[in-house]
Parts: sequence; C-alpha cells; structure tokens
Amino acid sequence: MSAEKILEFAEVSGTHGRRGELQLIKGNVALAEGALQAGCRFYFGYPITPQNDIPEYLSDKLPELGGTFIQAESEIASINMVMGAAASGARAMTSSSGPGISLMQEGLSYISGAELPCVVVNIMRCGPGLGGISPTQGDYFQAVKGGGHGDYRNIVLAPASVQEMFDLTILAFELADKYRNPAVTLADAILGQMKEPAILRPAKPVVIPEKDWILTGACGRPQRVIKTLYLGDGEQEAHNLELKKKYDLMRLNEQRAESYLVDDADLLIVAFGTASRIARSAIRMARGEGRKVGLIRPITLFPFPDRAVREATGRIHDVLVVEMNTGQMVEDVRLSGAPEAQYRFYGRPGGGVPAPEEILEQIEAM
Amino acid sequence: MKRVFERPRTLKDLPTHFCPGCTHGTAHRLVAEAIDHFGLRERTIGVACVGCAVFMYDYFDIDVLEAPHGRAPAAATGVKRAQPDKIVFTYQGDGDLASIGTSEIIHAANRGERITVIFVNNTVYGMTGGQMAPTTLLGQQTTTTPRGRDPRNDGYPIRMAEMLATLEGVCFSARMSMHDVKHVLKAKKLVFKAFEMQINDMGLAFVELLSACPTNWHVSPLEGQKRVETDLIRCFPLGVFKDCTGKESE
Amino acid sequence: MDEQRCGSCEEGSYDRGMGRITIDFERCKACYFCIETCPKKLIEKSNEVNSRGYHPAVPKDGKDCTGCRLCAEVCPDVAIEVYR
Repeated sequence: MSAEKILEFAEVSGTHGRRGELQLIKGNVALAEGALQAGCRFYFGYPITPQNDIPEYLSDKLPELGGTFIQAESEIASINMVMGAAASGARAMTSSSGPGISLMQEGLSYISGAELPCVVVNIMRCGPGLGGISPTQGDYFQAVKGGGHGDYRNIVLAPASVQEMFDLTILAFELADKYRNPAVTLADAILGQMKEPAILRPAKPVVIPEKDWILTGACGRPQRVIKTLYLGDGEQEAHNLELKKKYDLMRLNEQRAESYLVDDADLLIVAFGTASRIARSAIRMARGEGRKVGLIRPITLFPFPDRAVREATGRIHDVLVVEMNTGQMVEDVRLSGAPEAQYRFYGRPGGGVPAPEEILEQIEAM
Repeated sequence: MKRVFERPRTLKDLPTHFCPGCTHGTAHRLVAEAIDHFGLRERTIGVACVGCAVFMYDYFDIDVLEAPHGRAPAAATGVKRAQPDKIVFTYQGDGDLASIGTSEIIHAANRGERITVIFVNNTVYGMTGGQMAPTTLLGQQTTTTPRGRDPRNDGYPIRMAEMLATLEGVCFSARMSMHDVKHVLKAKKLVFKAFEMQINDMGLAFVELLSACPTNWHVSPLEGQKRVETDLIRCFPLGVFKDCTGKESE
Repeated sequence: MDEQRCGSCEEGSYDRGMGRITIDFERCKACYFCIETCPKKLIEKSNEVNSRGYHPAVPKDGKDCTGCRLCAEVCPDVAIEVYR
C-alpha cells in the first residue's frame, strides 16, 4: 500500500496522529470497548439487529470487570434501568436501533427532565416501522429534534469511522456527565458492522467527575429527590428555563465538525456519518477532475455546528447535502447556513447506500 | 405517662393529599415503620410510581427516584444493581404495577431482584378520576365501565400476588387488607417481613395491600372499608402465597 | 381535676386514667376509623370544624382509655398519639 493511501486511510479512519497499536475491529465492538474504557460498568439492553454485537461483547466483558450486564425484557425496561443506575452515580449505557429507540423516548424525556447522565446508542436501520436491517440515517429527527415529549434536547454525536465509534463513545460519557443530560450516539448499520483498524486507547485520560447529587441514602444529610414532576405555580417553567440554559451552553461550547478541503472549495458538501465517507470519496474523484469540492462533516448533530456551516456557506455558494434518508439534516443546514447560498439535497433512504459515483454525478450537475 | 404510639421518624410530619379514608396513608405508615424498625432510613432509596402515590418523596424522609408510569421495578433494578448494599423499594398502585407495568414487575421478579415491592390495590385508577383498573371487580362500575366490568369486553381482575408467587425469583408474595385494625396489624407484619427479606438478600419480596378508594367508589370512608371486607377479599384472597423461609400460611 | 376541652384547642386530650390519646384536630380528615375501632367507644365526632372543613374525631371526656393504641394503628393520617 502506498504511503499516500495509508495516510488517506488514517485521515478517514481518524487514527492519523494517534499513538498506539492498530487493531482490526468491528464498529459495534469498538463502541462497546469505548464504553468500558470510559468507565461504563452498567449496560442494560435488548437484542435488535444491527447492534447485537454491543450487548454480546458487554455480556462477556462486564462481569469480568465487576460490572453489570442485564439483557432486559424490553427497551422500555432497558432505558429505565439506565435511569436507576444513573441516579446512583454510575456511567450506564443502553443501545438499540430505531424501533427500540422509539420505545425509549419516554425514558429519555424523563432522564433529561431529571437531569441524569446516560449514553444511548442508535445503530440505525431503515424504517419506519419494522423496516429493514440495512443502514440508514433516517433517525436524525428522532435523535436531534427529540422523539420524546417535552422541551428537552439530547446531545447527539455522529461517528464516521470505527475509531470514532470508540472515541465518540468516550466523549458521549464525558458530555453526559458534564451537562447531566442524555448523550445519543447516532451511527448506522454500516458503521456498526464494518471492520477497520482503530486504536483502542483514549486520546486523553478518562476522568469521571464527582457527583454530589446522586441517591445513596440520606445518611447524615437531608433527603435527595430526583424527579421530573413540577406542579407548583411557575415551577415547571423555571425548570425548563434552567434546562434551556444548559442547551445554550452546549451550543456555545460543544459544536464539533470536521472540515475537509474547504479552504479553496467552490462547492460544499455537508454530510455526516457514513454518507460523509462516501462523499469524501466523491470529493477525491471530483478533485481529480479539477472540481474544487470540500466537505463539512458535522460530528455533533446537537449542538449542530452552525458556526462551521455558516462560515463555509457564507463563502461557498453551492451546497449539496448528502444523507441516507429523504431529507432530515438538510433542514438544519438550511437553518444554520447563509441565506444567499444555494442548497441542494441528494438522499438515498430505506437502506439505499449511494455510490461515490452518484454523488460525483450530483457534483458535476452543479 | 409514656408515649406508646407516635409517627415513625421516616414519615414526615406533613398533611397528606390522600382522601379521607384512603388507606395509602396507612400503607405509607407501615412502610415507614418497617424502615425505622430495621434502622434502614439512611440507606434506603425509594422508587416512586405514578398515581396517587406519586408524591412519595414528600412523605418519606429518604432518597427517592421518580420513575415513569409502570417502570419503577426497572428503575429499582438499576439502583439496586448499582448499589447492592442499599435497601431499594417500589411503592406502586394497580395501574402502575398491574397495567402498564406488568412486564417490568414480572421480569424484575423473575430475575429475583433484591428489592421490596409494595403494591396498593384499590381496584380503580384514583389519581386520574376513577377509570377501570386491571384489578377492577366484575360488575364494578367505573368511569370507563359505566355498565359494570364485563368480562367479555374488559377481561377479569388480575391477581398479582398469586401470579408472582409462581416465579422462582420471588422469595415472598403475600396479600393483606387494611380494612380494620386486625388486618392493619397483620399487614404490618407482612411489610416488615418483606423488608427483612431484602436485608437477608433473598429475592424479590412482594406485598399486595387491598385498599379502599372512597372517592372513586363513591362511598364514605367507613363504607369503603366495609366493601374491602365484603367484596374485595372474595376476589383477592388474603394470605401468603410464597415464603421461601418455608412458612406459607394465612 | 379533669382538663376541660376547650373549643379553640388544636388537640383534644384528657389527662386521667391509664391511657390517653391526642388527635391532631387539623390533621384529622374525619374518616372515623378510630371511632369504629375503639373497643370502648371513647372517641366521637366533633361539632367543630377544622380549617379543611372536616368535623374531626375527638377523644371523649373521661378516664377509661387503656392506651391500647388500636385507634392510632388504624388512622390513615397518623393524627393520633397514644400515651400510657
């Protein structure tokens, strides 16, 4: 393999510049390993394709580490077990795919309202309904706009490589604890099932913060109550405004996106996750033909990287949003982006995975 | 003179929102007495349900986690697994436990989670204004069975204590009423037992307490107690259905 | 000498004999389980009304209370204290 190819791969996989031993590993397993290295010792989940590697791996590893693995009776039970463990101060996680995440929406609403941290992983499959087991990005709205009730937001992270399946899981726990909020990792069946080399060591030491609000028994202190019910006059409103302050802080401090060949571009692609990898290939092909195309890859979907999108679309007039759905993130790109830019969308829903050539065709038509 | 009966330490000295003659108040006191009797207050975490007992945290001076409707046994599982040295209990009504939460209680029981479950069964949905519960009696009029519960349309009352007793993870399953002082004192013994079982790490301990709901039964408090005695007990027999310490009896 | 029960007191009580109870006048919701339960019928309905509109149960005058505690055990509002 040429040095150029190796570097290219290292950039795509996110291993570039990292110290450590490369291991060829499946995305779901890297994610599960990331959770363990983040100090997660409680996993509760229910089987669903295409994420079963996660509970299977953790059912093996957690008992060895003195942790707890329960295959719960349903996704509803899973998210509620996560809530109980989180209220006890533990780093707890569950994982599922679209239909199971739908069942968890009540739990996510409660966890947000109660200001508890947790990580919820969605390895997206196509839908709606039972759908299929092929990859999709059709749960963007569910994760980012909130499929549950009430005025809350999830932190949403979108890996685009097996390395990021590992790294962003660690980040998910960090942000969940920092803000006392659920963090959703939004991946898809391709990222879950593919194998890539990755370095399974955290980029920086994992530090779990002190938690002085957890329920440990009212020993020598007044009772603590973790609840979401606010019936007093004005209480719920005040609580919602406090939550909003957190979300505003997230918007201020936690936006993350990758820019690829954007500086001299006259055409911009915006894509996340697997779609961004395919777009990257299309961009290299286009560059080979002399077209100056660049990519903004949101890594946080909430908070949406409006600054990066606004800046790039302010300079680059022609924008193509590529997703594996019928148009979800594109709405946020339009909202955040410069109004004078021209926005186009190309999507393949229902398990359709675009080939780089299809995206190249779109580029050539612009 | 010596004071020989007073409010338990764990039960806050506050007026409750419960209706006159609602035996949630009695059940709350029995649980508080158990917690005090075994010296558990400072290492107990309660998991509150949704229903008339949603304000548990206002009455019990302990750490409390609110759970979504029906999910308390799952949330309690999370708490107990994370803190196995703590005492964890749920306190649930008939909608919470026997309707929306049937899956969660059966599986927590099946896994033998080391928690105590207090189930207050008054055959009706109190908080929401008197709709049918899974435990509503045949022929009983509720706001959603205006002509009385008809098995053809609405099924039969569910007997949770007997059902859970069939599960191996359950170490204790019993039912008692609170309709007169004799039965309140028997109920107290069972509630104490259910907490003691958790201290001894034995499995899931379940106590079903038959209660009146005078408001939604449209009767006076004393009539409500009478109805528990004449109508509910016939459908929900009192007794200990499982006791892994070997003392199954009434 | 027997204490007189005064209408503006929050608690009804009396102070002779082996046992004595107090019923929190404001806390009582007039379910009357205690009246039904007392084996010696030493509790009655008050003609007064508390701030929530209930006619609370009040101990009768007299000295026959044995402090058996059955009234307190049956009170859903933990409104009764018992002394012996």
